[in-house]
Amino acid sequence: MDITRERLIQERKNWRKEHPHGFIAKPCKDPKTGSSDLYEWDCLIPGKKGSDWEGGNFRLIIQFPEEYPNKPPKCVFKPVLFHPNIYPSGTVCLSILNEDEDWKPSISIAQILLGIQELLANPNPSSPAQADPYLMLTTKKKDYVQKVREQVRTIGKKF
Amino acid sequence: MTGFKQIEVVDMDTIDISNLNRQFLFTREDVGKHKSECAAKAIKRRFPALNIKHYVGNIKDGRFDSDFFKSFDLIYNALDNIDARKHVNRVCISLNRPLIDGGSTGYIGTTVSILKDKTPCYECIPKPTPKQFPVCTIRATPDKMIHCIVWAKYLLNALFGDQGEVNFLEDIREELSEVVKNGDYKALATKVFTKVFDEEIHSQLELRNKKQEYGKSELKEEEIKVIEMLRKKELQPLDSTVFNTNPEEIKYEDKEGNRKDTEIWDISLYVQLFYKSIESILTKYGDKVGHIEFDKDDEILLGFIIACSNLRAYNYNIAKETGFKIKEMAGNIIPAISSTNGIVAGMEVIEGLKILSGQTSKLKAVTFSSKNADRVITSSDITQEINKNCQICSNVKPLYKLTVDEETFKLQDLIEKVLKKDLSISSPTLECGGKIFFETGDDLDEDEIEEYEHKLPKLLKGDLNVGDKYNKIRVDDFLQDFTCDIELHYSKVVNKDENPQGYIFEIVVEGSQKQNPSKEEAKIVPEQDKSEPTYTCVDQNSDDVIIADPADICQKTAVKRKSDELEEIDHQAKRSKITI
Repeated sequence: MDITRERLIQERKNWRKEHPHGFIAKPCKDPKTGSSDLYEWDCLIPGKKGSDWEGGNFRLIIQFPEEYPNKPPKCVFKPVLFHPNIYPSGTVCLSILNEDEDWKPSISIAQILLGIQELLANPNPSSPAQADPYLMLTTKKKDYVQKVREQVRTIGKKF
Repeated sequence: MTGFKQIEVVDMDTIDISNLNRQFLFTREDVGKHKSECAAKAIKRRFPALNIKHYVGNIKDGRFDSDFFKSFDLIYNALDNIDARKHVNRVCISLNRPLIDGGSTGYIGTTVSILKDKTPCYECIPKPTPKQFPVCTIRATPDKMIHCIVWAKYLLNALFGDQGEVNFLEDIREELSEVVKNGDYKALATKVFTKVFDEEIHSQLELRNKKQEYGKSELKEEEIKVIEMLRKKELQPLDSTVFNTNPEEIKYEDKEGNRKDTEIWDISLYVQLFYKSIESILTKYGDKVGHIEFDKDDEILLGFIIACSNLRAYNYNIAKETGFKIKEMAGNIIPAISSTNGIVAGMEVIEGLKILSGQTSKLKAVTFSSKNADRVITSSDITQEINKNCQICSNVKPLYKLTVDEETFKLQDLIEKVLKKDLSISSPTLECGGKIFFETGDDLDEDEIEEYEHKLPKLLKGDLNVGDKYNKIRVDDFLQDFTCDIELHYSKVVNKDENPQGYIFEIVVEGSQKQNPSKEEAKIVPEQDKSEPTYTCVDQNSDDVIIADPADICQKTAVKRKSDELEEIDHQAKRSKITI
């Protein structure tokens, strides 16, 4: 518990001192008390330049478990994105976010967000999480790209 | 001159005419300009090959962040206050950058080198707390001029200052606040005068006699103490009606209308000055009355202090002093002596060279006097004296206990009084139970800053519910890398007399509790961008140095130093970056 808090305070500090351009990440604010919850962060990921996702900004919520950083946080897109590696719940499926795969306690929030930005642009067809985008990507690439562009215009412009 | 090639100087001050006698980099034309700029230009004129950069600003500003500090191989402090010194010390310790601190008060000069894990840091040894006089000495039994001056400053506050400030002359404030509001200066001056310089002294005389009449048993212990002190004194009440208080014939000014501050006057002139000062304060300050703060450079307020302290000195048969001397004492001005500063600068260069050449075992902390024949007062081998429990340099997170009155204690009290004043924290982040409830810093969005500012006047418990579930507040400084925990206790029994601040702040764990190792291991700092060198790798080929007071190192200027005792927090820092 103390380790988690301490690490999250440090993450917040590191982010404030330096973070990738165009990204936003901060502990969610409770409008009632005005305090921010270290265990839940509100983030914004810009679509990668040169990719079909360019021009969009996508809102992501990161939830940190009590066991963080021994266990990875859960990353959820709100609203849910149309993407083969994002579950219908919005949760991101990525190896560095999986405790049994590539998660390491040393991975920073900036690295997570950059990793997810990369994943948006370069989906991983070998571990599908959402049926429609997976099928569309593998069978009708053109439609998939069109759908992504549409998403950039609709969801990605709100912020 | 020593061969430093890259220097960067930081200072927020402008040049005052009174600096010119000892700050030789500046000339008359420079008065009013920024010190850092003029110093840099003057040095550049003499050493054109030198690469010197200056900044005008407070060293505690967010722009002087860790990246800025990291770019130097050596940092020199030439500060005039403890607060800024602590700040630079903490930043340098956290970044593992060598710091050389120097200072002088009159003939006494000091240099100390600070290097993490090799020498004690600035805060390893607690600094002496400001000298304070016992309340009863000031209130009832003064025997030195300084006591009268301190009292006069309290009187100024009681009559014309902020109500909120702690003042043991509260009774006078209450009794006279209506008269102050009416604005009739003559009525006010007469009332004050009669009360403090006449009636009070008479009542003390009575008290003295009372003891002879009643004997010890019927008096309070405190009264006895006061009486015993009083018995040794000759008390002289002053009756204002015997003096000519007509302000039309001012006798204490010279032909040009300047107050004769270099002379000691007849007592009647102080009475006149007293009346005149009260008139000036009421007529010239208008709306500011009720918020006046003493400023030694304000002639009207200084006049009030000069008059009151000398009148009180007369009451207690203490020798009078000139206005000039009183200004010096009231403003805590300690004369700065250029030769002392010059020696400090020279020693600082030597220490710097030891650090840059890796001879850190030879570092010394030296205190000397430029007056005595055998100059060195102490010279200690500082590498032996690290305080393992130091809150700053030992990686031990201190734990404090804070007891506050839940009905009055506000977030701003926590920040301004406890964190900034007691702990010298400059940019706090506050967390409790996994929630961040306060942050500061230039990097925040405007609406975030506004929202946090909006919270400042709120009650910590009643409004913000801090400490409802968890009572431990984590304090983390954004700039200093200083972290500590504060255990918060609410109580209704914070004794206001014993704790005029309205809270009790004490240290619980001073360091004996080393963090358990598993905790340390788990605290993995995220990997840094590979392209950016971390601060642990020192470039062997470029010996960069920052200097806090280039003036000092070039033996040309000195900073006016106020006494560390009652310093204002006017953060001032200077430094430069030098390459050999």
